[in-house]
Amino acid sequence: MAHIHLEDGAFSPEWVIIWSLLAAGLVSLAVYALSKNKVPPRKLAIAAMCTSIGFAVFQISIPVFGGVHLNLTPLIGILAGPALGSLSVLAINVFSAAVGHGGWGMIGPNTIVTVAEVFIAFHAYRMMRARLTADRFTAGLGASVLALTASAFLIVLIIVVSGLQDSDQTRAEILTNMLPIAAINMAVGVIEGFVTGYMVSYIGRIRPDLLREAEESRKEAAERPSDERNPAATKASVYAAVLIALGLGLTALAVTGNLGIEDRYHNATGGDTGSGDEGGWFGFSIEADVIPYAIVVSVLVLVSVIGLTILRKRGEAS
Amino acid sequence: MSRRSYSKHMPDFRLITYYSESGRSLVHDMNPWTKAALLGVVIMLATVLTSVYTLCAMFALTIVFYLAGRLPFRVLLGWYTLPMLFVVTLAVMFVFSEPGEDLFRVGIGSTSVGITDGGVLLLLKLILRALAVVTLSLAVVMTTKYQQIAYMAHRTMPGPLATVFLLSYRFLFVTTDEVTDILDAMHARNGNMLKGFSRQTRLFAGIFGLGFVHAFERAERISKAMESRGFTGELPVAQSVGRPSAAGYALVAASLIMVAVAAYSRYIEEFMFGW
Repeated sequence: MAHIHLEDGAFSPEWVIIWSLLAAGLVSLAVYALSKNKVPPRKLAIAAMCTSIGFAVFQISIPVFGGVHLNLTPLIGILAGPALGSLSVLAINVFSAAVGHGGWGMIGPNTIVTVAEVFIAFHAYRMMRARLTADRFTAGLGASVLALTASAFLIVLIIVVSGLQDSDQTRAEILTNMLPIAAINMAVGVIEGFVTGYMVSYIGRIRPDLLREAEESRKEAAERPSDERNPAATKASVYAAVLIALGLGLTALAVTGNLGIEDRYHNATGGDTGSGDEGGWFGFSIEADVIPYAIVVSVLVLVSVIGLTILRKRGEAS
Repeated sequence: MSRRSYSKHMPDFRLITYYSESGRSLVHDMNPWTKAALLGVVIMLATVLTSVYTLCAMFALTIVFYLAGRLPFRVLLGWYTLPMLFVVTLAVMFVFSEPGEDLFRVGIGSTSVGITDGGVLLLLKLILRALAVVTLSLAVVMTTKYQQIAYMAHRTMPGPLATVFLLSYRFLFVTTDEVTDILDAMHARNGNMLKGFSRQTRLFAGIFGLGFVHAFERAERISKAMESRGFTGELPVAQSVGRPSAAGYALVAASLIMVAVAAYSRYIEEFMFGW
């Protein structure tokens, strides 16, 4: 499982605020999705138990490369669903910060990483089971490995983009230092994938009802009684995509110096990180940087809006 | 039955709860909102302060706060292992490549690896920040009663999040016991956390799989028990927390002014030595 183990003060305040706002947006969407329908106490109890067992296993770390450990976030996503799973991983991050496992200021970045794991794992598992008719072990393994690989890169992206306060290393140097950690996280992700695969098969044999939400197709979900359906969850997922696109846009602007963050950071550290003013970041000049990011962000926003419109039309038609 | 944490290096929630519920000190009597605000201030200061001296002063103040709560210092030293582990193992990647004057360098073939003064300073600052925040964080948790935390969670978090958060806190005791038992069983059979891929996978699958399955069964039993006692998805709050006193407001205001000065000095115009 991937988790940023940096403590408070590693990121500059601007980046702590940007990541925290983005994380708050994601959690708000999860809360919005849940508030549309009453959450059964049984599901709340299961989510809470997932949180506590997740936190307990979270503390068993192997002391190499920044401390690697499992926490079964993809499994939490598969079992509790993306909305409740998001709240669950946020609670794990809060408990962890309270005992020094990552700083309080890292709750935002870590929530983004773990919510991404929950979200990707749930949807990948559902797709593999419902559309590709994969068996439970393969679906659990595939979904976990996919989610954890994505989150390993997300961690590198967040740290490289934010930079480290008090460090004069360039972003390229930070990237070089972070890649072995990402590789280790991915290797551990494969182990966690196997663990998740075994777990999902076991749970599927003895308690298939726990996997119902993650295994039903969209058609089956639509056929559920109205009091069990949660149309807001789908809509909220699209809103989350829009928010992530906007967050990426904000990040891109900040990286390219268009929010003024980079310049102030340079002045504050008194050094030249070489990332924005001389030669640019990975060879891009400031002006040239904005264009590809702007295109990517525009496409993401456009796709999200189109997705939302299609879903709304489908909902109206049904 | 008395239980213990699975490692003296991991914070023990039973011990934390014991001190928070039965401890008596000035810090215990302090308003929980004031303590939470002070924690926020220290987090902000850890982010903003850059001088080793001011970071040392902040760390010393958090130790004083912790000791004022009549909390066990030796236990705290053991619990420092976790943040130290993360900082050191992660920062070690940066220590060798941080620009600065060489303190130590060894040639390896055509290349060389060395530690610079900049690298050591970076590591020291990260450690000081981490330990200062962890100390105050633990001091706040160990001097605030569960009912007060429950009230604050209800006031500051959305309903479902507060319920999941508080329920998980209650379940933590059960699940940590569960994991402790499984790890004890592993150690009793000469098990180790660092093995080959295949054994590692099966080992973790065994530990966590069993933990999850037990947790589910327990969660369902607990949810049935709670529903039979009228639980509808929202945990009741029995005790409220009053507003901070005038002294509390003054303390928080003074701390925030200090943060503002430090932030101005660091990011806008350097006008004070050492900030």
